Amino acid sequence: MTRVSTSLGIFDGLLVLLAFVGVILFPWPLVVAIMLAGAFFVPFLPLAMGIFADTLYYAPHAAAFPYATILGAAATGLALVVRSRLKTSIIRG
Amino acid sequence: MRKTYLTRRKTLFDSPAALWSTVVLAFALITLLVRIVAPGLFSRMAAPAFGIADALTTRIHAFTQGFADAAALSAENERLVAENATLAAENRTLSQKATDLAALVGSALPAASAGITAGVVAHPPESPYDTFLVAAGSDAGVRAGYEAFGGGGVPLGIVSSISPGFSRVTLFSAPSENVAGWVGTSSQPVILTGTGAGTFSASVARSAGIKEGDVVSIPGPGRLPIGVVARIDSDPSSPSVSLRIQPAIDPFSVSWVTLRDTGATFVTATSSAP
Repeated sequence: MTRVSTSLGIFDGLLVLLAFVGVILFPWPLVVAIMLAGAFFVPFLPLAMGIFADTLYYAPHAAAFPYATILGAAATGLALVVRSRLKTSIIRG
Repeated sequence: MRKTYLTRRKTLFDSPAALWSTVVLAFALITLLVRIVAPGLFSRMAAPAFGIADALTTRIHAFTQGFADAAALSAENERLVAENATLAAENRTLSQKATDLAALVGSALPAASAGITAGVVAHPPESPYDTFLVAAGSDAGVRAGYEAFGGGGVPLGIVSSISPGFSRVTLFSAPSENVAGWVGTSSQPVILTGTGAGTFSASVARSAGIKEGDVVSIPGPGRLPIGVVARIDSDPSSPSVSLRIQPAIDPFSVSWVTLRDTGATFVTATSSAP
């Protein structure tokens, strides 16, 4: 059980690293795909990535709102709802 | 009831998801705090990462291009070399003409028009917004409102925020941007609306006779080409047509820009004066 948790932790860590490096290295559509995939494992990852992307790239003249943060918050909300449904359902093993 | 609620909370925020959620949020918030409190320091810290990203993108592009048909590439290369020679000759002619005209009217271009050359450290598509991060800031003499030009003097955008070592350039093609310009040989005035990724849209009267391939330009000094009409969407019931405009140079591949004052800073200063 401990071994499973540790491997899951390492996997989450690698996912987080890939996501944050991706914000800098990858085109934004690919980053969105990584973000959505990562939301299943680390629910607050989309919000953090949104804040990070806006920290790097947002300029008030380019857009009225920091869309990356707003989309990240929405994805985090969705991920939390999905996780709550799955974790508390009778289907879990 | 209370116990059920706590159990539910525990299952929602179990390890390691809770641990990593805390870590990523803390990291993002600290980064945001650094940008707000010390924007210059933040730019200096972020620059190496952007440099690596730019180099990696260039290498990947070169690698993928290697798989293209060699014969087609050779033919394309020959055509571009010939076109380059023609354009260089045309450029020399126009430069000479400009020099003659300046001497004739007794005025030369101001010294500031030479501009400040700056490397682009982040550009679309890495940036989700149509912005550039360039490696020249207030220390190099850049001011908010300076205009950014790409190769061949193509206008790209306006410096919207600056720090001591870096500047953010908002492209004219950013979705919320509008810029006045002209289209076609008859110089029809149009308002260009940014649609992202370097492209624009505009609406013009059907009777203007605009066709695909017409050049679109904006004030520079003078008229500076910013793109060409790529497609015309026409509704028979409407007196106007919609133009889809492609950029003169691809903002995704711009690695150097020239920043200079074109009067926008003066206009801003005078309009904000009491």
